[in-house]
Formats: sequence, C-alpha cells, structure tokens
Amino acid sequence: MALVGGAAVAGAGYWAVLSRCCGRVVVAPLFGSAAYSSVPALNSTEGQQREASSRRRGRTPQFIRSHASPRTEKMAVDQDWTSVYPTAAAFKPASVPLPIRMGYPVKRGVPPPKEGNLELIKIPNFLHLTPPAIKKHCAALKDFCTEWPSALDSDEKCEQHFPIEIETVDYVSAGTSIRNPKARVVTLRVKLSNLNLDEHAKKKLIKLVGERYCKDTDMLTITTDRCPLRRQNYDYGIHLLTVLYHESWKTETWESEKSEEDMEEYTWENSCSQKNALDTLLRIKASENVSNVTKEELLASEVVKNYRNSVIALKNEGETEKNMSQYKESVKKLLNI
Amino acid sequence: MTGAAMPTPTVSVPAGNLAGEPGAAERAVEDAFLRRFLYGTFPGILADEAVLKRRANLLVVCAVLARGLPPAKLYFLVGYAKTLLTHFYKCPMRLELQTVPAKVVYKYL
Repeated sequence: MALVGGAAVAGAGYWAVLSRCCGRVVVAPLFGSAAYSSVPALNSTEGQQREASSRRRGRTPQFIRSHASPRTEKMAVDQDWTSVYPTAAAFKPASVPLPIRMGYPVKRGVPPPKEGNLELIKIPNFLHLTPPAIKKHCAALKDFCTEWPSALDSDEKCEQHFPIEIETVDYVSAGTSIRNPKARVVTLRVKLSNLNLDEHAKKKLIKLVGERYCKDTDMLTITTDRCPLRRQNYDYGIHLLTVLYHESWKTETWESEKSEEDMEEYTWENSCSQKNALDTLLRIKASENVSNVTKEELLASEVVKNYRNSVIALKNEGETEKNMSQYKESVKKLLNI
Repeated sequence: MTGAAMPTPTVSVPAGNLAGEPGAAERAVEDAFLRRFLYGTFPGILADEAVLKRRANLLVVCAVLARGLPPAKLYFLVGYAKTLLTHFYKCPMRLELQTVPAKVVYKYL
C-alpha cells in the first residue's frame, strides 16, 4: 500500500514522505512499545538477511530513530573475506564494500547503484571463490586425495595396463530429482591391437561389428543403453566384447564358402588378373617359339612381380597419379613395349 | 513518469530449461506458486519481483522488501515462509532478503 501511493506521485523526493505517512497510518495501530525492546535483539542475532541497513521504526514524526549503517562501513580492509561469503550466496549490497553500479543508465546519468539492484542479485557472483577461499578448499580436500600411481607416467603405459576405456555420463540438474534416464548409457572403447587376434579372427571381428570399428584409429566402440541401469549396461557391454572375441577365433564350416566379393582387400594370387597375365605371357612365349617356360618361373620373374604390385596398389588404395603411372610402367615392361 | 516493471526473473542454472531436459514444467509450476506465496506472505512490502535461483536441490529466493514492518514481524514471516516451503517442496530453502527505503525504479519510460 505504501508502494502504490508512492508510485503515483512523480519525483523520488515525495516517495519517502508519502511512505512515511502511509506507514504511520497503517502500521501505528499494530505497534506496541514492545517493538523497541526487540531492537537490541535485532543487532545481536546473526542473519545475513537483516543487513542492519536502516530499519526505520518511525512511529511518530518527532521520534525518528537513526538508521543503522550498513556493515560495509565497519569492515576492516584486511578482514577475512571468506567468512563474509563462505558459500555461494546472492549479492548483498550491505555486505559487499564495493561501489558497484549495474543496469540501464538513468537519462544522462549513470547506472543505478547497488542498493535494491535486482540486476546484481540475478547474476551469479563468485564472491565466495576468491583465491584465498580456493586455497582453503584445496587444503581441506588434500586429506582425501591420494597420489597418482608413479608407474603410470605415460599414456602408452596407461593404455598397456588398461586397454579398455569405459565412458559414462552423470547428469546434474536444478531440481528435486536426481534421476535422468540418459545416465544409463555406457560406452566401451578398445584398440584391436591390444586384443589377441590373428588375421582370420581380426577380419571376422571387423565383419561382425561393422560400423562400430574405426579403421583409422583401430578403435572398437561399443555403446550400450538397452538396460535400465548403468551397471547392467556395463555388464552387457563386457559380455558383448567377450562373445565377439571368442566367436571371431572360431571358424565355422560355412566360412570356407567365402567368395571374392567378401574379401576385405584384394589379393592377386588366384585372381583373374593373375590368370590373364600368365595366359598372355605364355602365348607370347609360345609365339616366339621359346622353350616351355613354367608358370613358377613366370611368377617369379621381375616383370610379373612388378605387375602384381601395381595391380594390388591400384585395387586397394584407389586410383592415384602414382599408382596409375606405376601400372603403366609395369604393363609396358610385361608386354615388352 | 512511470517506471517499467521487470519481467519475472527465474534464474535456474543450468538444466531444466535446456532442450530435452526433464523437469522444466515442474520448475515452472513451482515458480508460479512461489511468487503468489511471497506476494501474500509479505503483504504490500515486496518492492520488486522476487528472484528465484536453484542450485541443485537448493531453492534460493532473493527478495527486495520495503520497510513497512517491524523486524520482529519480518522475522516471523521469514521463518514461516521458509519452514512451510521446505516442507512443501521437500528441498532446502534459503530466503535472502534486502530492504530498501523506497521502491527502486528500473527504468523510466
């Protein structure tokens, strides 16, 4: 009620008077003289809310108590700031001895001062995290810390002793519930070079996992989230890894039917390229009436070896300038052009 | 000249209002109730909209009051508000108050 009356009148100067009048009218019947006896109690109770900044108890106009000054005026320069702001708290203008202004500047003026400034209250402040405060935190936490094991002083050693990396995410949110369904996701990462696999097992494993294997980093990544709990997902991930490992070592009967389309990389032996090359060379030799040269001799010859290497390079690595020119050279040598 | 009113400030850091995070609706309902509750508990002396902050489970209400009540009554109202709200929402609650001699105008239009 005091506020509404004050807002109706232009000019800040009248506000204090009006609020005083209204306050007197409204509040006076409720007052007892006992109100004054509570004043000493006010100053002695701790209460960051009760900043002691001018509590006006004007009951009658001729008796106006002097306003208690804000705490900032009694602060020593070398006080212990960590006891003023021990934890995260809102900005209290009567506790922070800094002349801060914040907000939209008054016309041809400065931003409003800190008293009653909502902008300063809204923003998070780090008054509780000054360097001396952080030093105190570290000193207190030191008792709970242990040294990093000295044997694990490099990344390679960490990888050698702990080849499997498990990744889980914890979610914190503002509110009364700590549950977040996204927290159940578990990611396992392992390098295949750390697993004991031979050629066949490695190829089979890569075929089994498909997209989860990254060729550039040689990393197998398994992400599990099908169980409701993180522990269950972790166990499932480990189980998957175990099963993959054992299955890739086994050779099934139907694996002998692996055809050329299933091969991961091109092998020249027993390919049509080899057959064609040998065929051509034999015919050349026959037309020149050279004595029967055997297949093995042809295969072992330099030109055929060059041809083989260039074809393998072309098929496996794709067509590059280098590969194409190498192929051209080897063909020319093969056909004696 | 009239002063511009501030929009209701709720500083919920960080989650809740992020896309896809749960609990945004519950926080919004809590905020609406809290504002009405404060408006009724501190009759006529709320100088400005209360700022609501949440730090994990802790609910912090920062309010600016005008000096219209004796401190004894204010203490009682503070205790009443805190106890009742902690029991309603089952979370710790902090009420950080500031009193000003007159209502602070945000901006003259």
